[in-house]
Amino acid sequence: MTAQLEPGDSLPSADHVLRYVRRKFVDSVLNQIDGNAFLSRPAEHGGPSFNWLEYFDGEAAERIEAIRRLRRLSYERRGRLARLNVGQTREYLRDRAARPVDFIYDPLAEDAERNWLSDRSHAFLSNIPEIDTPEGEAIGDLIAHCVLESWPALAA
Amino acid sequence: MPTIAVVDEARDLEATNTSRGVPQDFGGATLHPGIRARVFELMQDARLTNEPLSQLSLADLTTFLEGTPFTKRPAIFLLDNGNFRAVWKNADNEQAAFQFRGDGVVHCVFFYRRASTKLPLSQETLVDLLPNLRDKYPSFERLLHDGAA
Repeated sequence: MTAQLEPGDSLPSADHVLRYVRRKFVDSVLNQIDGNAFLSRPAEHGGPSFNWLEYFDGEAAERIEAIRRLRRLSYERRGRLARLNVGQTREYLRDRAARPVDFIYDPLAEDAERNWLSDRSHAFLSNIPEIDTPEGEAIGDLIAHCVLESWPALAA
Repeated sequence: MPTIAVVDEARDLEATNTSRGVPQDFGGATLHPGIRARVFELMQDARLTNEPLSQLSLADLTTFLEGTPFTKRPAIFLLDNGNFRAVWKNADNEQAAFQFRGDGVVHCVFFYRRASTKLPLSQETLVDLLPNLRDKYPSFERLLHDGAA
């Protein structure tokens, strides 16, 4: 773990986040992820959900595995986990869309009823339009430019 | 920014889908085999997960693709609202993207490189009718072909 944060704090610029991308937003043959994957859904409070990668210790593979264990969605085969850099994404959206966005630390409590573990790596991206709005698609496409790489959502 | 590295899985998806009996046409339209396979995959997934899929959007997608010359197939996505989106994109993140909203209405997002590379991509977002896109074709044509820079 690189930093101790309080809920509501901004994630460190040098750190990274992962976003689960459903396979309908992944055209695997063309290696393309659609920007709509990064827009806010009505069920996502505050903004689209991400996991703070550096919350966990270890190599990238260990961190990703830790995030897989905490998932609250059913990951699909051929879904992806897309990695973005916090500071780059923030700057890119500010420069290209004059849109101040931020990755906000938002740890989730355990929900025993739904069998969900506590997720201390959870964050959301603020000031992102909801999906299916005219401005949304362009913003989503700009966020997609910030994807550094992606991994299969499900372990092999 | 580095480009997306989606490197594994589904390399043979198009061939696999073809062997599973992907329909040869959608409403009489003859589509590029890769597009046909991708649309079929998205339709199957929507059916399995009981998610919306707009036949009106599909009809507009096929109409557009039939009437638009291209040599590089677009990426195809199915949005949460059931509409299809076709995206042509190059390595410089220039793009021509079209969400087919049905009844001939198309939501477009264009990113174009400017003469000065120091400036960010120019952005154009608009809602237009399918027939009007023909007039705009010259502005995005180069993104629809292999080797477009």
